[in-house]
Amino acid sequence: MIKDRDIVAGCKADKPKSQRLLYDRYCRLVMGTALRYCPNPEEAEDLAQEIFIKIFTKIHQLQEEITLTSWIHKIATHTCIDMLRAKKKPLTIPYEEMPNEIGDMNCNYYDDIPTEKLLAFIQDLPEGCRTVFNLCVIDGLSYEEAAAMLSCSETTLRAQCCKARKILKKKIENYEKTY
Amino acid sequence: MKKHIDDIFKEQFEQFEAPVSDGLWDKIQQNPGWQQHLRRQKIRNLSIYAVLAVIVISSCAVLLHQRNNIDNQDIEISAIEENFSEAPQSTTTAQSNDNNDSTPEVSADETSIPADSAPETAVDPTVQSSSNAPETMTPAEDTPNIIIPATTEHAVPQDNAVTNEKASEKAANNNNSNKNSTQASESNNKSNNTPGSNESPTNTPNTNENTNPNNSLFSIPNAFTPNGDGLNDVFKPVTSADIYQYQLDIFAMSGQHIFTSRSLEYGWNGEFQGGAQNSGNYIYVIKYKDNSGREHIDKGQLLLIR
Repeated sequence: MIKDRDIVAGCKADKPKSQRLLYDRYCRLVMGTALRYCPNPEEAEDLAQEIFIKIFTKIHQLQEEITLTSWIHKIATHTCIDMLRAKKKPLTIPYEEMPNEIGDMNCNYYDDIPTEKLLAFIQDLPEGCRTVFNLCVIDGLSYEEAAAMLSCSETTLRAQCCKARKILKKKIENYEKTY
Repeated sequence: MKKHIDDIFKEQFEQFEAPVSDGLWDKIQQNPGWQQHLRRQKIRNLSIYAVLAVIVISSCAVLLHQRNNIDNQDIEISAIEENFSEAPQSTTTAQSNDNNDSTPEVSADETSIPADSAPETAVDPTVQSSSNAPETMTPAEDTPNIIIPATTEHAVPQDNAVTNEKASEKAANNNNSNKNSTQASESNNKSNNTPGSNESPTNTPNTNENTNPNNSLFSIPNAFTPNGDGLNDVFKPVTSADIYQYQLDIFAMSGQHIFTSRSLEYGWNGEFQGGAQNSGNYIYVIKYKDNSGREHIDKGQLLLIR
């Protein structure tokens, strides 16, 4: 098993073999990220291409202390946001009133929903909600960072997040009821 | 079981991996952005090679140029010295001719002693040419010596010739070219008042032992500043090799002999007969033997800066 560090060294020297190794190891992760942000599989594949080109062309900027996985993750999310922005100029997160009552965000869950179904739930979210939920909840960015990236207020982000949670809760509960 | 929405999705998607279609790698390779990157890389590599090539070529050119300069300088110096050693000969022709014969070979000289009349000198050139020809590097130098004496040979008194012969024989016995050349340069220095005595030795070492300065055992500065500041006040060559019979001579560009040193520690301070010399180019001639007994002569120009 070749270590990530060696792969990175090879990629920094622009060795095609190392690039292929990196691709083979991380293509599924990149694809998964792309699909969360972009429901259309074809568009997600284009996104994955862009992400890999960015990885290969900017890998010399990767510092030693950052792990390859988290760096790729970061590149992937940024590229996704950039692409969404380019596609819908400008990417706007619609203003959302903060609901008076946040409500209980816990729901009955029995670990039996397949991941593909959960992915579909995310993909079905309105674009604004989906992006914010991906960024702030799954990718774990702070509201501050996300606000800077999406150039909107933190309050809007929080509201969008709440909206996404509500929709997702409803979907999960429906699913649990039906099966 | 109750669970927070965020946790559900975080757990499922933090390391979420989706299947990838087989063609994605090829698509990346054919992506215009990637192609552009590869092209840029190619151009960058090419330009690096080009820069390296230019550096190598230019350094070669500089080296060649410097080498040519040294060669030219060497030729210039030997030309100057030829001129200045020929000058006295033109005035006192016959004597110098006699000496030319006597120094390289005593036997040749002996043939010349018994009678030094005109027919004898007619033999001389042949002897001389046979003894000197293989060694001389600049034949032009010999020709005036041969031609001119034939016309004015009669003027030379025999006594003079004998004393010359003795002096040169002594020199030959010593077998010390350094000594010869000092005498030679001293005689030149005396503005040729006693021209006959020791001129020929200058010719022989100059022409015969024209060693390549590139093989010099010395590192020789090309300039010095005798202004008393303690830095480069004295011109002297430096060496780490074993040197024997060392002698340093300094000449002005006019050919005038200015300085002699036989000690490696003792260099020229830029003065001649107590007077500071002007800025300008001077010629140095360093004669020495290395530890294998081989004779070297290093010549070159040095710049005096005030």
